[in-house]
Amino acid sequence: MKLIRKQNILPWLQSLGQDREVWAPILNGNGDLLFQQIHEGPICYDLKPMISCRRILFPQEEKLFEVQTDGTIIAKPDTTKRVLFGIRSCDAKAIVFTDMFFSKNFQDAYYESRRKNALLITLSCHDPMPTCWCNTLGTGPFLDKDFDLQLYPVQEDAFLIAIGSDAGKSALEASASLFEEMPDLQAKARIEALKDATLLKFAKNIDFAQALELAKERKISPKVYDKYSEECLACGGCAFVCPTCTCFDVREFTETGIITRCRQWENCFFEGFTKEASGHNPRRRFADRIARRFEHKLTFEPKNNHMVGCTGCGRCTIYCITKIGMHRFAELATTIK
Amino acid sequence: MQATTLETSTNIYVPQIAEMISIVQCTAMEKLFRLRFLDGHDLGHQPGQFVEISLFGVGECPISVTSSPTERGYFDLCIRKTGKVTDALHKLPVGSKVGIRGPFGRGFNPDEMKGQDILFIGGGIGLVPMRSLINYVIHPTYRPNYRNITILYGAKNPSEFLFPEEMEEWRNRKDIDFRITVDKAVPGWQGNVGVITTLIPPLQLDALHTFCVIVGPPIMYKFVLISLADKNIPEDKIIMSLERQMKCGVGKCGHCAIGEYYCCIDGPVFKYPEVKHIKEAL
Ligand SMILES: Cc1cc2nc3c(=O)[nH]c(=O)nc-3n(C[C@H](O)[C@H](O)[C@H](O)COP(=O)(O)OP(=O)(O)OC[C@H]3O[C@@H](n4cnc5c(N)ncnc54)[C@H](O)[C@@H]3O)c2cc1C
Ligand code: SF4
Ligand code: FES
Repeated sequence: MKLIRKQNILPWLQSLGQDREVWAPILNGNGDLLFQQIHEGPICYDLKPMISCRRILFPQEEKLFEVQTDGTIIAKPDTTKRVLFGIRSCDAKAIVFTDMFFSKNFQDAYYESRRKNALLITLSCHDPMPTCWCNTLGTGPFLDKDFDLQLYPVQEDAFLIAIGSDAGKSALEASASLFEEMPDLQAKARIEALKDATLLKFAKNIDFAQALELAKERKISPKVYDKYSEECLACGGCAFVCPTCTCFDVREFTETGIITRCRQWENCFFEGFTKEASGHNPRRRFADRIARRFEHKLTFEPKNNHMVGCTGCGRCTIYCITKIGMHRFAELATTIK
Repeated sequence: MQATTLETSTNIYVPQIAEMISIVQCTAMEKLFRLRFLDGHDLGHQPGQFVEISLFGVGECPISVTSSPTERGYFDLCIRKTGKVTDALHKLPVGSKVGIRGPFGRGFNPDEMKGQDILFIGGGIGLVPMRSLINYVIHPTYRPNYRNITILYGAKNPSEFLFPEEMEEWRNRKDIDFRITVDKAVPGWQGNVGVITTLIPPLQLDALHTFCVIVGPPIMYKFVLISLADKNIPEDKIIMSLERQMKCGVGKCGHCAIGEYYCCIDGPVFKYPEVKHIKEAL
């Protein structure tokens, strides 16, 4: 199995970057860890980025088309080639989910184009956050597929690499001299040991499996959502940081005669999300909008698409002002009858 | 305005250009727009489907196709003036170019109604989506496929009836039972007064062989469903078209989600048992 020393990662990524953009978790000036291009600063290996690479495959704002002054419509999906480096297992599974979502019924040309031009290099987790529950969902901490390359931090200064696709294989071959070999048996043992040690680190205070089961069986008490709605400030931050949220709004504006139609991330917690032209709002009650968020992810996606719409990444709790999110939901779901 | 380029032709978000070939003022609030694609292709819709109409620089909104698929070469949209896009559409003259995406959604299925009676119950602007099915089933080619056809149509007051000439035609046809009512009488009105549910009890229905198609404001469903239950109409013969806020029309933006469904893909036409258990549906 191939192994790469930490000091060789940047040279490797730079060589991959000769004909494409390379994005990785990098701290910005405000201290937020976000996917940025590697020339922006040193790569952070130890923490999960605040926002997943959803931001790159499905940007917060994206142009759908423009109408030029002579009336010609120009729609250009982004064909930039990118390497997305340091994706956590849960976020790679979120990409599996968004792949399904954006191709179902109708193909979304914008997502498809960004996605098929992206090489996914994942980083298995060895240090879950207290709010992570990928172990329950099988979306982490390690992947057995759904990556081009997967890195395992088996020692302080080096990563073992699993190959998940031909594109991944080529990405190694191009810089062959930067990699070392570890005998397969030894590598496997190191990975298994890392996995076992990681699995012991997950918090066990909440029974996510039970919460998920109750949600799938539609047995969540309405009181759960009433209680949650008392604690939630409706800021919408959870939908912003969630790697599987896909809702968007559509706006357009005109500048120097050119009309641009864009889409922007939206949020099902907001009252205007479902308000109809007649004034009627099917989810006027806040608790109903909260129910929507959790039922969509935990009840309807499993039923319609055989996937849970949550990867257990824990962001909606960690970044929540009142620290509720999926964590609190599971707590309420398993305690309120 | 030019036809879209090749690159955009398979892109679900890019409209095709259509021209308004006629515009009729129906009521103070509604206008009927007849549209034709610049490249001449037929819309090819099912009754009950909708399109997304764009006025570039203003925005886009979902509108039901009100003409029957039996009419070829053009399609009709009846649009109420209620906000940004619809206000701007109302200001357009004949010859204006707009963008059209669609047809989208699951429409009515006229085939499953073959050999049965059909009872249409339309409240206000709810007649608009239903009309594409009415004019399909009463078309001379298809009328023999169906038994009794009854149309109940209610409006707040007589000035809100949408298609007076067509109503006259329906009234005169011997093979249609057409009844109307208004919520409030005005001087000179000699017809029924009362909400639309008042038209249901007097009907003689063959409960097991009648499809009921209901479209109207949210409040209407509640009461009509009670009246139909009184008539022992089986729930799976009750068909309705739901309205939701919609942005994309293709199952991506999430706005139209009702329970496990996306109204824009799984609907807007639903059978009652499909949505009965969803609190926010009706
Ligand atoms: C399947 C379907 C078929 C339809 N068929 C017809 C038809 O045949 N004829 C017809 O006249 N109408 C029809 N409608 C209704 C029509 O789509 C609306 O009247 C139209 O979208 C209004 O758009 P507008 O830009 O004019 O109004 P806007 O100015 O956009 O206002 C629309 C309303 O939407 C709400 N809204 C939108 N976005 C937001 C937001 N972000 N926050 C808060 N509120 C928001 C508001 O309540 C606002 O009043 C149909 C709707 C659907 C879903
Ligand atoms: S719902 Fe919360 S825990 Fe689940 S994927 Fe979204 S942000 Fe992560
Ligand atoms: S209108 Fe966008 S998902 Fe239905």
